[in-house]
Amino acid sequence: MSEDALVLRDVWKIYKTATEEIPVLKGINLTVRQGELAIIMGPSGSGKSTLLSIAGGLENPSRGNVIVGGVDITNLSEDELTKIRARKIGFVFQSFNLIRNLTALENVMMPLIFTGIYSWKQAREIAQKMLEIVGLKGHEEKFPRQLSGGQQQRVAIARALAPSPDIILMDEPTGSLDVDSASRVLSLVKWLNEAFGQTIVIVTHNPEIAELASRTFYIRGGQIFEQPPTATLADKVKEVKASTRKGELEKLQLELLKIKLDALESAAREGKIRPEILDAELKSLEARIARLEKFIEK
Amino acid sequence: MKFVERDILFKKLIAVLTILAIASGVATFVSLRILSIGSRTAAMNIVQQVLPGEVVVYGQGLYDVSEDVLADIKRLPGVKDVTPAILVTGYVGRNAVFLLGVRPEDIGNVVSKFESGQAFTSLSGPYAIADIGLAKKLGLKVGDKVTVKPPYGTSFRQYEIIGIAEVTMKIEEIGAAGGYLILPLREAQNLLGRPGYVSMAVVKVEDGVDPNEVKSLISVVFPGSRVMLREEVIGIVFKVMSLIEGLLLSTTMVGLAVAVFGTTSTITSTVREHQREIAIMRAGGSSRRDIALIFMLEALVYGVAGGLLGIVFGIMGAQVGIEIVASYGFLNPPLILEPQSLLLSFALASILSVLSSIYPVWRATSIRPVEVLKSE
Repeated sequence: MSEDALVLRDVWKIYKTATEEIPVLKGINLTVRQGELAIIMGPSGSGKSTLLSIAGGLENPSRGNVIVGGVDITNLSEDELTKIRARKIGFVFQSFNLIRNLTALENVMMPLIFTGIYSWKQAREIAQKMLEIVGLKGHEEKFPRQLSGGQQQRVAIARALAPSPDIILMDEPTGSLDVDSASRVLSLVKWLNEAFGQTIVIVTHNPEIAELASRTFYIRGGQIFEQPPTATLADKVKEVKASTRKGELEKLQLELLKIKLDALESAAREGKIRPEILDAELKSLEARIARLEKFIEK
Repeated sequence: MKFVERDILFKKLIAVLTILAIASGVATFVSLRILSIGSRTAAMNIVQQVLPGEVVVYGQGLYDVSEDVLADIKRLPGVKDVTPAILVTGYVGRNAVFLLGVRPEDIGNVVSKFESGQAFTSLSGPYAIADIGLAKKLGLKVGDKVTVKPPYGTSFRQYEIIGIAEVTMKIEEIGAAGGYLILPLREAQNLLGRPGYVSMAVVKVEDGVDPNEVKSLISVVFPGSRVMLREEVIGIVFKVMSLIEGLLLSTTMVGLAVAVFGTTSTITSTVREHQREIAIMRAGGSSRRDIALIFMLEALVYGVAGGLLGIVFGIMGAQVGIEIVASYGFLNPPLILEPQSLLLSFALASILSVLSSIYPVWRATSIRPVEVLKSE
């Protein structure tokens, strides 16, 4: 029996446009052991949502293997993948994503029914228990619109938890919540992880969530690290500066400002700009030109 | 099912309009079908009642069947009886009417009941029976005198109304606005200036004799005549009715097309509305089949509701239609609810609704589960 809840082996995801190939994930290797609460942190566009969708079997990787609860889901047919998702993977999304036509109880029952292994009676019993676990006893018959954001997210967690999946994947679970609701949801997540031994992977850009983690991963530019990346924003600025010769950009900017000055004067001669507005603009422009010239002289 | 039920309840107006669109198509179909079955039955009854025989003989012209020929026909083997009759258009004052000349013994074939007065008892005499419609139209009552003109010439005769009756032989009246005036056969012949001639004769054959053989024999004895079997007459009547029904059914097709379009459009908008939820369900483990079932079920609910409502509206519409047709005075179609027709219209509504959901359902099942993350 595998001890690993999720294994990603050399996973690549390359999106192809008409003219180019854009690699979003570049050979990701990641192992999340059973009972872990793993946090994957990364800024927008770093590929964390793509990673989550591949780990959850929502998308196929371009290369590499994805193993969930000991089952290699990489090359499964759509039908098989659907069944695996129903039984082995739970999802919690930023926007709760509850079905608005269904009550809280029915929302939690839904994935149980889709597994095809539970009767309606069993599904109802499990869903009732799950709602009790997440502290929503008495709210079973309420529709999503009758619940607060925090309560909706707890229903979503109960829904993800209901089929006893091998792993629950959460995408920015507190992104749409206020501070109080967010902390209650996070406490619940931590408690579920500790009390139930439920394996949970959270992708987020919120560093505060990292405090809950058994392990934290960092994703940057399609690659994953177990240590926070050392390159800072200041390093990036230096990198950009180093790529151009000293004074080169300033000279270019000076030229552009002078062209603008000529254009303004010519527009004024043709009566296209009111004199009092032109006067203020010219003064501002001349001041900027003078400052740049001084900078270049230095 | 709950998803579908609440979705329908949520968008009440659109759901009601979709159901009404289906119902209107089905109602048109049902009412036309009922009206058509009723009219056919009524027409067949009339033809069978009016033509007390299996073979009908017409001359080349309007009233050129000689009674001598009829006597010859009566002597043919297999012929049991020959009933002569005159049926032409004429005028009462300025009103066009059908003049029907019959023998006193044949009145029972053309009159179902007397409202007032009685039938004439001899072959001649200045008496006439007006049908209820004509009497109402011209304000005639028993004892009144009417001046009748034949279709050609300037001659005219006066007759006393001795009875007002319901005339069953009304199928011929299609296309004419007037009513019927029944005259003794000889009076009708004298009015037309054609004593000894009638416009048609109905031949009754002996039991066990093939009417086709009698028809062939008559054609030999009376060359140049138009001899038809009663079934052929009924067939012609039905052919004309089928043509009218065909035209009316094409209207139904337009109604059904509107219903199909309405359902497609409603389910498409439902799918668009629930795009995100479909992706959630797909991510949560629902198969394409599960998704398809949800939206097909919704379409089926519209179809079933529209079908049932359409049947009710259709029966009500048929009742109104029957009253309108009966008010014209030429047919009195019965309201016959044929289970097969009702079942067909219900099945049509249900099946068409499900079929019309195929495109939006295909769109729904094409939504990839990953869309749920992309919409975050």
